Amino acid sequence: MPHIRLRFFGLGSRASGSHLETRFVPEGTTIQELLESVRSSADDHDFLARMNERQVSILLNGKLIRRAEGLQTILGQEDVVTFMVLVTGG
Amino acid sequence: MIKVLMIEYEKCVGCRTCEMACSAKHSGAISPLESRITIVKWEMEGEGIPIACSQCESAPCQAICPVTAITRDESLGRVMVDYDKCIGCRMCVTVCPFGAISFDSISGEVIKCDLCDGDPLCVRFCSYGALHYVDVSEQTTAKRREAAGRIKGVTAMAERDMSAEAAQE
Amino acid sequence: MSFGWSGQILRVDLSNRQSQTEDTEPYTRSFIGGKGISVKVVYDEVGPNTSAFDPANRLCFGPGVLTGTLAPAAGRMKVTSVSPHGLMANSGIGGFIGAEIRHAGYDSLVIQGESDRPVYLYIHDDSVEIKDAAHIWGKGTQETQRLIKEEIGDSVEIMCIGPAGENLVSFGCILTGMGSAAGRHGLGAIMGSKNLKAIAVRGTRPIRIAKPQEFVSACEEAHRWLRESESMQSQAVEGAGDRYTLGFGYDGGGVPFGNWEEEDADWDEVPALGDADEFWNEYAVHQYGCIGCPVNHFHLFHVPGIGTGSTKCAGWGAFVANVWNNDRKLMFHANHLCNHYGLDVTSTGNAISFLMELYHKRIITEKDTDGLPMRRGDERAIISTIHKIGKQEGFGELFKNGVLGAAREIGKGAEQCAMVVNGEVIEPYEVRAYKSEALAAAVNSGNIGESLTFEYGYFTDPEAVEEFAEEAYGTKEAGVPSSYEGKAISIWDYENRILACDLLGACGWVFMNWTGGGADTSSLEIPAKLYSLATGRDTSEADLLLAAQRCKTLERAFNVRRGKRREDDTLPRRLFETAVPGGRYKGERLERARFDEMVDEYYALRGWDSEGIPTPETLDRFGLSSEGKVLQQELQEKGSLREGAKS
Repeated sequence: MPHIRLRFFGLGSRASGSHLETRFVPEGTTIQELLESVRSSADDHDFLARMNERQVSILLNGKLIRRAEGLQTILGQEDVVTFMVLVTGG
Repeated sequence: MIKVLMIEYEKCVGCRTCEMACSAKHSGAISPLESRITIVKWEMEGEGIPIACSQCESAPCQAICPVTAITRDESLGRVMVDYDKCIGCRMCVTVCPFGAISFDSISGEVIKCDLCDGDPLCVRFCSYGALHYVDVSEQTTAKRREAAGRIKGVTAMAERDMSAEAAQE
Repeated sequence: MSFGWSGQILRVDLSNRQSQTEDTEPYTRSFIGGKGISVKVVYDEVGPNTSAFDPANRLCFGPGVLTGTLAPAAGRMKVTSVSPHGLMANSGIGGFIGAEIRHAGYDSLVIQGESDRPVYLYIHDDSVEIKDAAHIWGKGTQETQRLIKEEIGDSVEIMCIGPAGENLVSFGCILTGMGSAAGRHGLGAIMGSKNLKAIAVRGTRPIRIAKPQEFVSACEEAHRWLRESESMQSQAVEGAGDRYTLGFGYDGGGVPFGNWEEEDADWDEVPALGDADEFWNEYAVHQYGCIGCPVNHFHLFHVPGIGTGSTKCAGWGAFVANVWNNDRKLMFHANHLCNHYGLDVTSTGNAISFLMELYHKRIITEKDTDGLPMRRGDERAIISTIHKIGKQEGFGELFKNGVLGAAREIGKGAEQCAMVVNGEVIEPYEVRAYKSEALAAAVNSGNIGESLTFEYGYFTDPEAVEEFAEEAYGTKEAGVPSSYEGKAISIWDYENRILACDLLGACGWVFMNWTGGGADTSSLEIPAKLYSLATGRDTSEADLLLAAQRCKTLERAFNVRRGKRREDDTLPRRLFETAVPGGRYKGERLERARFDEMVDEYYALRGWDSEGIPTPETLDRFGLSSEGKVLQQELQEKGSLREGAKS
């Protein structure tokens, strides 16, 4: 069972500065499945529960996941999945 | 159950929104001299420290006032100025150890935090969590929990959990 | 004139050491405040033959009508003048100085003339002192501020120039605090040319509000709205923006390597998105930014051995892939030095990038750079060059007139490598691929930041961006970076929105139309509402956008009087003649014919003729008939000659 780390930037009640969670996931879990699991376990106040999926950007080990194929990526040991809301420019 | 203005100094980023909110409420204008809370800044070090009235139990300003214009309002735990009695001698300004009471040259009166009659506006405006209006007992609760949490983190139960996690991998 | 505005414009003449005040009111109906007043002043008062360093040039500081009030994200000020490259230009500065000027009693500060010796201004409400600055001339920006505070007390806000501005380096900047600077377009050099080292301000006067209770409530709501914004929280508060923006830029092919070069860069070295995490986690202290802001998008970093300071996207962009560097500490060091010398980070980064290209192509050798090999990514190359330029020593002197000046002096084909528009460096975006940015850079002298659009977010979610593009601009293509469609209109819109913010002193980054890029704060409705409550003048978002367009038209008319024509709204040849060398947009080109069409469309939207000159109808439409007459008269006198044109 791979052990993974999740980081949340700016996402509702979980947000307190790159909030970090760790968990074990069943072998073969995809990012899509992880996202669903995180959303369903989020409480009502949590942005993750209410958000339009498209508002959240997901990075796997620091690289942006492209929705088309990336969401089907299978998670591996010590993978870091980052959820954030992207705004462009500075 | 007295509530106090609790300041978490490390969280202040020095944005001065509280100052502007305070003066806007009390004077209808955005007026630097008419704010009852002041952020003292060390700009080149990136530090800001809020100074507001501590509503002292034995207030020096109250003690020094020659016309007893300054009294404690126990209903809100605050020190108040009676402007009908105040003669504007500014001795209170001289003796306050914090500089929290000041003379407003625009209105010609001494001004200090009055806790906005129980709903401090600065607290509502602070976006960085530096200002709170809480029961006086709360001032230490958060710190205690944090300290206790550090102790808890190295207890025997926590160590057992960590070993179990490691074993599962 | 008693609500919202401070009521007066302060004019200081450094030649005769006189200051006087002028009523703000006449400017407010048409130009509102902030940059609006500055553009009008420069238009009326600076003739087409007045050069940048002429004492008659005006240096205008325009804090907005909301600056210094309880409105959130409104701590901004635009600085406007004729730049060393000959056109009206402006740059934004934040921190607390704009608010302090407003509390001193001024909606605008106009400096003219030239002091016969180094001075600094000390404005304390209605007291204006011109003080001797011999003891601080030559000092860095941080030390300058410290010394002035020692002299006149801690309760002042200060903006100043460093050695770069003093030495009239054409990309010298004006800086306040620990790193908020009016960086672009050499405004620091203008200040230096007037022998003005710093402006210190203490303001204690009230700004009166027309409807105080409603205003306070509306502000509270606005602060909460921004505080709870997911995008602001993520990007700014938690620093995701600083950590990842560049990485997204490289990943999306939106940021070039080096100097927009032709050959294949080593794309394996693309700074990984996560690379900034380590620097951030180690050195970030806390948020930092402008007065009254619930977002505070800047951050303070403390790096032992280098110092404490603030850096932001422009700093990151200037000193990472731009100079073939992936070491964030080196980036911070470079930024820190630029802050010290008072140098624009964008232009400085490009100067180094330019030298690195020349060295790589063997157009120059160490001999041309005082024995310093300008190897790509080399730490010494980067740091030493900044010192040399800042102090105007050795080969640093090549850059006194910017990258173009250096190219001309070096010769040997170096001019082909000067990536400038009208003498101004192009901000580091890959304009061969991102077509809206190509247009923005061309029509705004290399300045992309004042109209950066949402297409930047395309690769995180193409469908969402296209959906937004269709809704906002009538075509999905407006969101597709490599498309030419819908770019003129999106640039036109973004320019208007940011300019509307500039009239109020509101933060363009927070309020502009990022929705397609993920932001949930884009809209001018709230600033318009707060402006209405503060001043008592009912004003809508549409009204603000109209005033913005008026301001843009006038700025253009001024530059036309200085000789600007369509042929100046272009990009260096290389950007049309070469393809992107690698990455996501490898092979992508900027086609001249399609680019020209975008410019045509943009001019049409602006109401300018095919030469880029505002038509009489356009000038009338915006109530600029009398200003238009000045333009017409000068055009008639000069015919089609382009006199007084930029260098």
